[in-house]
Amino acid sequence: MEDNIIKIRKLSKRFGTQEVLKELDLDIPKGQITVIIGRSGGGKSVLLKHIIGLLKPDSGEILIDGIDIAKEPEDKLNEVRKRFGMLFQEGALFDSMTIEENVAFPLLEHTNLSDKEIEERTKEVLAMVGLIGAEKKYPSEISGGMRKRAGLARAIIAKPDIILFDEPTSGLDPIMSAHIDNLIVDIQKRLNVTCIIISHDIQSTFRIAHKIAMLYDGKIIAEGTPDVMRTIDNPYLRQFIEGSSQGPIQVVDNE
Amino acid sequence: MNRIIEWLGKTFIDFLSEAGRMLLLLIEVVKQTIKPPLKLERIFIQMEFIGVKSLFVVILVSLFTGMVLALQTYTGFRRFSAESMVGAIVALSLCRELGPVLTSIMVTARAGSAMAAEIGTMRVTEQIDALTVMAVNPVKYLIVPRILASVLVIPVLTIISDYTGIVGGYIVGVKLLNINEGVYINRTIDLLEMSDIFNGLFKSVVFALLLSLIGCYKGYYTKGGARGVGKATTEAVVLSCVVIFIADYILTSFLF
Ligand SMILES: Nc1ncnc2c1ncn2[C@@H]1O[C@H](COP(=O)(O)OP(=O)(O)OP(=O)(O)O)[C@@H](O)[C@H]1O
Ligand SMILES: [Mg+2]
Repeated sequence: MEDNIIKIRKLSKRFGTQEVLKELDLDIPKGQITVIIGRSGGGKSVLLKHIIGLLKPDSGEILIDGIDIAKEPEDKLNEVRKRFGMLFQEGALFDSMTIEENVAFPLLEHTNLSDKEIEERTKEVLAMVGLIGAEKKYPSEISGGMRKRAGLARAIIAKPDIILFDEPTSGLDPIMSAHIDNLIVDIQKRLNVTCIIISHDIQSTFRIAHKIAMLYDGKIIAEGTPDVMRTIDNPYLRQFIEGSSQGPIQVVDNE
Repeated sequence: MNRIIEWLGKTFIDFLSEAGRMLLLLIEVVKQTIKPPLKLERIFIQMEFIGVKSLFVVILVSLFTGMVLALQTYTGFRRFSAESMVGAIVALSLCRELGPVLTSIMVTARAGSAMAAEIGTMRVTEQIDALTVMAVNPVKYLIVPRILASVLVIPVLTIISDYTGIVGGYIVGVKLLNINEGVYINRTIDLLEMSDIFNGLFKSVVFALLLSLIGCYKGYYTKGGARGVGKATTEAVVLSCVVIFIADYILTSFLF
């Protein structure tokens, strides 16, 4: 049995009358890549924001190494957060800073490294995501895909032990997507970090995941290794994997 | 009739809950200010933005206010041959009242609105979430420097405003309306007391706190895209102006 670094128990969240998560249970294995798939608007980003304490659950627990982060005071929570890196779906780069300053930000805030060391480390991760040459530009001056890669660089620079990626490859060309996939796999292997990835790319999901979990209607309806997931006979999952508009998941509500 | 009562009740409750949240934010600001480390660099950047870049508009507005004040008091005072008092009245009104109020209104228009817009944009584009995720307290990082900078720099702007206004009054009174220079200046020095200036400066500190708190508050709680940012900015300016005038009355009745 491998151990689970994150355990989510009966997590519920609603916005107004809309129930987004309904008593959701999910385990994230340590040192592996877990990919969460599910429909657009299904609550994947909301789930990710709960894991890092940006949103507070209405009920339920989120245990990170046994610590329930929903109940921790801000100071303790920040200690836990320093273990995380996160790539936001829209990048969330600071638009008043250059790409370089954005990427160096976590090191500047939380380490005592010298300017030179920070500069070197920044160069290194920027090279990893293929952004050399854009260091001095501002987020508004680069493309969406470049912003995503800069966000990725910022998420990994402080060598966190858990990294959350909200759609790391959406909006990238196929070659860059494959490169980012490899990068994630590579970082994961080298540093033995835990990765949680939200993805719409079924092919890449099956290629990189150790574990896949499908979110539907506020719950995890299927989970397992890619091999297990291929065989599970859940009509929702099958329709999603095959990408068919015919099946139990209705794109337009008929009722 | 019921509708009206309902509306009044709702408005009142909204007002109270907003005031409550603002107070909570202020408490958090105080907590985060005391908690080390305090990065001076961020405060200096804000001081430059709020202070140095507001300087021109404050000087311009104060100069003309002093000038028109001299013109108006002259017209009135001439009717009972009290022209010699013009200088003193101009100086008193400026130091006690117009210097702090005009400066704060100008800074609200320039910097208060910018605070709401900048922080609001950061909110709706998840930049504030990004700060939180990176274990950087957004109140400490974004709001504390803006409020401290305002409180430090607006009194200085007020002194400059008082001075320029008095110069404006002098130009009109002595050079244009030919009031005797010696009388004009002596009367001003006789009547203006140090306490007038200090009370005005105290007012400016309170206004600075209010306008920066409101600007940051409106930005911090922005919801919903570009429209939300626009709304937050407008509300910050309107609310700051109203609150400044109300606080001005309250302070005047207590201080003087
Ligand atoms: N702050 C919020 N306030 C109100 N509703 C919200 C909020 N955040 C998310 N929602 C709602 O929760 C639902 C799930 O949103 P979420 O962003 O998690 O979807 P998602 O699964 O990430 O979709 P996508 O794949 O398109 O990114 C949506 O219907 C959204 O309207
Ligand atoms: Mg999403």
